Amino acid sequence: MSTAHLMRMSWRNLWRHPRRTALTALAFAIGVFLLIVSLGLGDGMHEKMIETGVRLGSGHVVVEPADARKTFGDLHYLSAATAAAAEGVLAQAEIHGQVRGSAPRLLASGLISSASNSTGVQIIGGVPARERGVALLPDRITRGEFLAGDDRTPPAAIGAGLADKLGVDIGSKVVLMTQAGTEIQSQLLRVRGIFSTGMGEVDRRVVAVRLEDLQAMIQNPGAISHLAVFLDGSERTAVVRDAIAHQLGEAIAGQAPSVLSWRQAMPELAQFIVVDDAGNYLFNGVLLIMVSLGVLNTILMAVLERRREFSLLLALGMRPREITTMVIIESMLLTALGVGTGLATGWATHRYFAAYGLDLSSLMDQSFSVAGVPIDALVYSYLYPGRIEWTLAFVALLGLAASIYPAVRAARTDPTEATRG
Amino acid sequence: MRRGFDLTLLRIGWRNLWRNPRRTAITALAMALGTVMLSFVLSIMAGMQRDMINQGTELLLGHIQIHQKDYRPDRSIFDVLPEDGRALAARLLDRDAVLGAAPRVSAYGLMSSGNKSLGVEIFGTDRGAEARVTSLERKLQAGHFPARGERAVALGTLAAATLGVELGDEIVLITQAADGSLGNDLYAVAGVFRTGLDIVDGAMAILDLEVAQELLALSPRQIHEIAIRATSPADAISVAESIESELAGTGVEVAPWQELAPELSSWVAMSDSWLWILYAIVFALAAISVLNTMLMAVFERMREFGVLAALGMKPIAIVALVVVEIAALAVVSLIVAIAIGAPLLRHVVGAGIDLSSLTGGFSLSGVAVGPIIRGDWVWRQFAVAGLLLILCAVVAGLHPAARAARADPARLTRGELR
Amino acid sequence: MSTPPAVKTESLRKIYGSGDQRVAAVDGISLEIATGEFAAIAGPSGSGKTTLLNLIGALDTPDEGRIWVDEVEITSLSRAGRANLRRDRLGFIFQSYNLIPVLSALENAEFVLLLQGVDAEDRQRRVRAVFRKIGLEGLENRRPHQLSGGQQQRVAIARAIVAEPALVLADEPTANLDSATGAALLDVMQDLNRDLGTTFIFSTHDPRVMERASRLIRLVDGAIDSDQ
Repeated sequence: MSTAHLMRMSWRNLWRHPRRTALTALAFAIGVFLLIVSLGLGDGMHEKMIETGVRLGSGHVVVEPADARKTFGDLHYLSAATAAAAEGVLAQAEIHGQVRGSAPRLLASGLISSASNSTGVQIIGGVPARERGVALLPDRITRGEFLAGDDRTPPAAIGAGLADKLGVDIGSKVVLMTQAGTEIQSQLLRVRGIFSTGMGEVDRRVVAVRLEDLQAMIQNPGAISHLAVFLDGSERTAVVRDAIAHQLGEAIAGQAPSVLSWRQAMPELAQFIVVDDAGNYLFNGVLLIMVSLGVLNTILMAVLERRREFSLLLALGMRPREITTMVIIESMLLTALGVGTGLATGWATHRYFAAYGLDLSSLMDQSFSVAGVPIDALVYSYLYPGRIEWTLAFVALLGLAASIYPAVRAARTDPTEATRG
Repeated sequence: MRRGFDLTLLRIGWRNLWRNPRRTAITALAMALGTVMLSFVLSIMAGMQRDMINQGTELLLGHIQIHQKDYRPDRSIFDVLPEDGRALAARLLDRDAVLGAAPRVSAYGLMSSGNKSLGVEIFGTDRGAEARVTSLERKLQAGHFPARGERAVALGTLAAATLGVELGDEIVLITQAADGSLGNDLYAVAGVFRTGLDIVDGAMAILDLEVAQELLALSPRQIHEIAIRATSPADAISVAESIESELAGTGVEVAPWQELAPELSSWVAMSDSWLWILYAIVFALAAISVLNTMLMAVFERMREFGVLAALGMKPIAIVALVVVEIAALAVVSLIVAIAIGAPLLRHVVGAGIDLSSLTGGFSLSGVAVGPIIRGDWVWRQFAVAGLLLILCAVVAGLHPAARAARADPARLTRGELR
Repeated sequence: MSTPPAVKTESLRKIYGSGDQRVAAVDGISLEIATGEFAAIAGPSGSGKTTLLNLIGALDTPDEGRIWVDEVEITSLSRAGRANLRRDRLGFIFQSYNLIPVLSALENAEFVLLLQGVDAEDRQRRVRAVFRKIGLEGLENRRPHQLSGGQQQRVAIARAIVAEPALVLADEPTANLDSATGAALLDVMQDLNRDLGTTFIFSTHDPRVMERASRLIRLVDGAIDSDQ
């Protein structure tokens, strides 16, 4: 008997008990809906975390001195030749659209003081034109501007928390002290911009200045701590990292710098995403197993009720194999019914949240951070490629597994039951 | 007569459950799975909360801190406690609820060695008092914390590596002193500690209290903060309130950790809200499962219910019969859940979940979590989940029960009930 | 005999139960039924008539003895072989639960043809012809629950003969019908037996069926009591 005819019988059999079928399918639909929505929100949150993390830190890919990670602090610099070569490679990449932008930075730590207070800070020297559009701080300026100004006093941008602590505002003067060789250098700066990232650590401890000003302070013109590279979205990170590393390796004789992806530069973040994902899958997986047990129950009931019918079919000459197939198809159709509904509603919800976002601020505190990255309460749903496919494969497998026992039972019906009183 | 009837109802309900053992078993298993997962998540979240709070408060913060009322958040070195800080600390120790009280001074400064320098937070602590409040000293890998009067510093492994110093080497500390001058002095490295938190290991220097006061041009009575260890983190708020009422009007602020590290307590609140969503999902699915199963069971037995009605059983009694059956089903699910869940939870609470193959640990709101995540025995929450399961099952079963009660005995004889 | 028998059995034995409780439902039955016979196997309940029918219909296998249907020794067939036999050479009519509830009358009747792989056009043609012949016209698209008891049994008959089997086995087909409908049903079957020459074997304890049978085999406790 053709599969089409078996399918016809299976489909009609499902609707002999419409409420039972509908309830079972509903449960499956809920399970799949939840899976898709939670995957979407999870991926969306992770992607946002990655973006915030790379924009706050050193980009999707970073070019830094080979042993920079061995110590805490910022005392290794890229050699001038390396820096130049890297800039060349990156300029090419930008032209080809692989890279959105790059920014050279110099990092130092020091002490900042105002008339009323002083505190230790992390100093970032960057090129304002290159920081804008890629880095986070220029975007988070709430008052003033990011390192603009044509005053003779070099500009600084500080966090709102630091501004409060020092009791300063736009236009105020501050003194920055850092080590240059064996001496302590101090520099007068004017606060030209105040930013607010929402992260206490950043807003109270970070000072942004112009690269050239910081280089002058440490009396090392041309010193660069790293080159941060920014991409459009995180998916191509590995590919781009490999390309840059390869090209740099060819362009530089001697010791090549480290070219790290954000996963290597921020392993804590990468690991958190892995663990969070695993937890999400585990949770939804258990829910779907719960639901599959419901399918098992329903199909088993349907099979046990139809023993006479199965023996009739066998009497008429249908093969046990065909009966097994018929029951499996029935289970798969029931699964498909639920999955189809769940997928459709889940996808629609995902698209909605992708466009408008979901505001979780009632569930989330505004100053929450994970793995060093502040969490935005507004989550935009996003699905990494392959999620839907894997979901479908998984639920298809579950539907199949739920059908095996009933299908085998059905096929083992005794044909003589047809003639029993 | 009434009692006998109730018992019979129970017996009938229970036996009815086992007329179709496979179906009962599968439904019970499905509900049990949901319950086990719920318990698992409850346990893990409680465990993480406990560990985060302990970690967050034990290492450095303490359960309660006392400052001059303007001290936070700027931590200006001029805002010292109005009265003799050390005397106050000693007095607070008299309270039963206070297990330790550590006076401290703190300031930001630059630590340098040779041509390398690092911005650090300088803490001057009383070694003996500090040990009764925080656990930092236990993180020493080498050496010791500065003793009283010793011109030495303890710093973290990352700071030591950055400056390229070891035990016995000398470093220079420069900071803004309270008299407006730039305090600077030479100190020996007496100890090196490792907490695993970069910010601590890389940017913190511990000095003896009196030595720090000297560096900062402060008198021995001038203290910035007193860190207090209460009987437990949960007691922090009540103990803080009682201390605050004693010190009212003296211009001090007594803050429990919930205020000092709001990210910690907001994480607790946040995870609690997620739990409600979890509950809703699991119970919705369990309800559908019960509804489906009971509908099947009831419809199979309509004829029987017609017979019972014909024999004079009131509709409400038939409803009770079905409800008993459902409650029994829920109880069976709970038993299965306990059978599966008990060994699982024992492992989770004892050995914990080892994530070290996936991660070396990550930070949540600045507190290190993992790589081993341990759960907690939250008996009250388990009990609530169990009761809610039974309640949810009964509510889901009311519809099928009502259908059963509507079995019309007249239709029996007409052969219309199957 | 010039033509071979439709059914031949030799020392057939089928035992149920185990240990002390063994009962021979069919105990040493040897018989031959010629092609075109309208035969009835009769006896009280427990006499083994249903078991015998099951054995002849390849629904069950004997513990001892051999059976030939249309010269094919069915006792040596595999399970698949028996399934094929039932599909291609036998027609069945049961007492109740004859039809598949989710299929229409037409779809039920063409079921065996479907199993055989006959194409849609042929199936339709043959089924409609049979429906006309036994008075089921107009009922093609009704579901079993929309048909009367007599109509349901007629659809079963249609299904049984549309594949032109060598043998039709009917297990108490009239048991659930009132006397008028039952008689009408037997008329239909007798007509078919005469017109098509199909062998009919009934298992029954209904005297009306026994009356009409051209051959009556009485069973008692699993053995032939009389045969004429």
